[in-house]
Amino acid sequence: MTIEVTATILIIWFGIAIFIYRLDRKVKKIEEEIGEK
Amino acid sequence: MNNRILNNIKKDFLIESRNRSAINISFAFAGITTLSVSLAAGGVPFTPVVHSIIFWIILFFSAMSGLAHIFIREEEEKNSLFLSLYYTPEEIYLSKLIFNIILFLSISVIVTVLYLFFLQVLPVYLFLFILTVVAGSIAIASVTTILGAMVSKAGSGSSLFTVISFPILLPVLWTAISLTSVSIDGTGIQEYRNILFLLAFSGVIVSVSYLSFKFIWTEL
Amino acid sequence: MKIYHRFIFYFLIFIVMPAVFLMALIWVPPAEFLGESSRILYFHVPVAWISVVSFIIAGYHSIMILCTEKGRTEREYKSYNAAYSGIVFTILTVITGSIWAKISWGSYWNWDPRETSIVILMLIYISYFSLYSALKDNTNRTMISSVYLLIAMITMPFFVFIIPRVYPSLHPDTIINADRKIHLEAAMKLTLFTSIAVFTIFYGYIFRLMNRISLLEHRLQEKQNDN
Repeated sequence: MTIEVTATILIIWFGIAIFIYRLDRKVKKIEEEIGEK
Repeated sequence: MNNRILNNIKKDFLIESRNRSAINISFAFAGITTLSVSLAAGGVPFTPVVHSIIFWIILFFSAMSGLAHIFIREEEEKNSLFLSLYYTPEEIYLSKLIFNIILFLSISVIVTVLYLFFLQVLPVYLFLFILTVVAGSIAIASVTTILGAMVSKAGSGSSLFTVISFPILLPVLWTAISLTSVSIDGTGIQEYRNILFLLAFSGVIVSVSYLSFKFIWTEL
Repeated sequence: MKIYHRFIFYFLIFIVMPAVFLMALIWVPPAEFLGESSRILYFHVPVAWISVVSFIIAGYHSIMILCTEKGRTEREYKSYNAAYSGIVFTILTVITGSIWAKISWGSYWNWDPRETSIVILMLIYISYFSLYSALKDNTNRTMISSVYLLIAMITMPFFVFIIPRVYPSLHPDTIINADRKIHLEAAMKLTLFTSIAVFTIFYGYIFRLMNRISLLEHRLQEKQNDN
């Protein structure tokens, strides 16, 4: 039972981490694009 | 203002009576759904709760098929701009609301009569049953009027209308289902106060949509 | 976004959040009746909290869109992004909650009032997004979807009134309960509130990033239109 709980928590954590990482990269990309023009 | 609202309602009824197809289709839809339930059941007796659930589901989908039509027609005939030149948004809202309430009350009368006749239900408290149908129909009509205006602006069909009205109509459906099952079953008559809930709900929705209708109808 | 902002939040997500997880998984004693599985509490509650908070933020911004003309475009992004992150957290709440329900009540889904209300929240989000995407070509899109959120918001109190009558409840007492006390031990309380705080900070960070992205995209589009 605890395995299920741990697995869910890890999945949530990885999901949030990946989400923030993607958002961060997107911001960087757009900032560079605006900076060029 | 009253006169102008009456004029607008009269105009709507005139247009609808000239081209009866849309209204007829919504009446036919309501009748056929009721008949299909009765035919599919084939005389199997339902419990009061099942009766009331099926009854309100039929009413819900009849509302979904018919009540957005009044705004969608205005958009299709490119009428909305002229309408908003002559009337204020509040007048348009009130006239459409009254039209929808009248239309849906007549639809629900047909559904109720057909349902009671074909499924052989006789509510113990007939008066409570009728009151519930009237209050529930008014609540459904007042919620769907403003949502129908949104759907007509979105330009997509009735499936979007069903999707966006379901979560908002849920409290109405729950209350009406429990009231109907009480009136069919005859136990727990003290629940009758919930009719006030239905009326209060429609009052709140109508007042908020009266205030915010101009944001939907006029383009800023 | 400045460089140290980014650094602080990477620190948060790779140091503080694992620390909270270890606290919740190892340090805290299990709850009396629920056993080891009660540890999911420290994730279920913050996620549910955030999904409600983002609904309130989305509703607040849509009401302000209707009330004032100032900053309408920014508010448009804000309410959309709040709803967008809200639906993600709502789905997470449903998943964690149903796992917990399976462990403690024996089935993944049994139409408890809490489950019902979170499903209704999810339905409202889904219909908001359907409306928003259907209004693609309309210039009045912001207004119409804001009115929809406003109507959904004023329906919420009625749900609170009506749901407990429809479905009986098995849910453990919420944080704010009838006798206004928190029935948790000190260690559990500490972990729970740290977890809620960390999740809220993350939510704020995600929300800010999303708003910034939408703003930058908007500016980029305007630039391209000018050229």
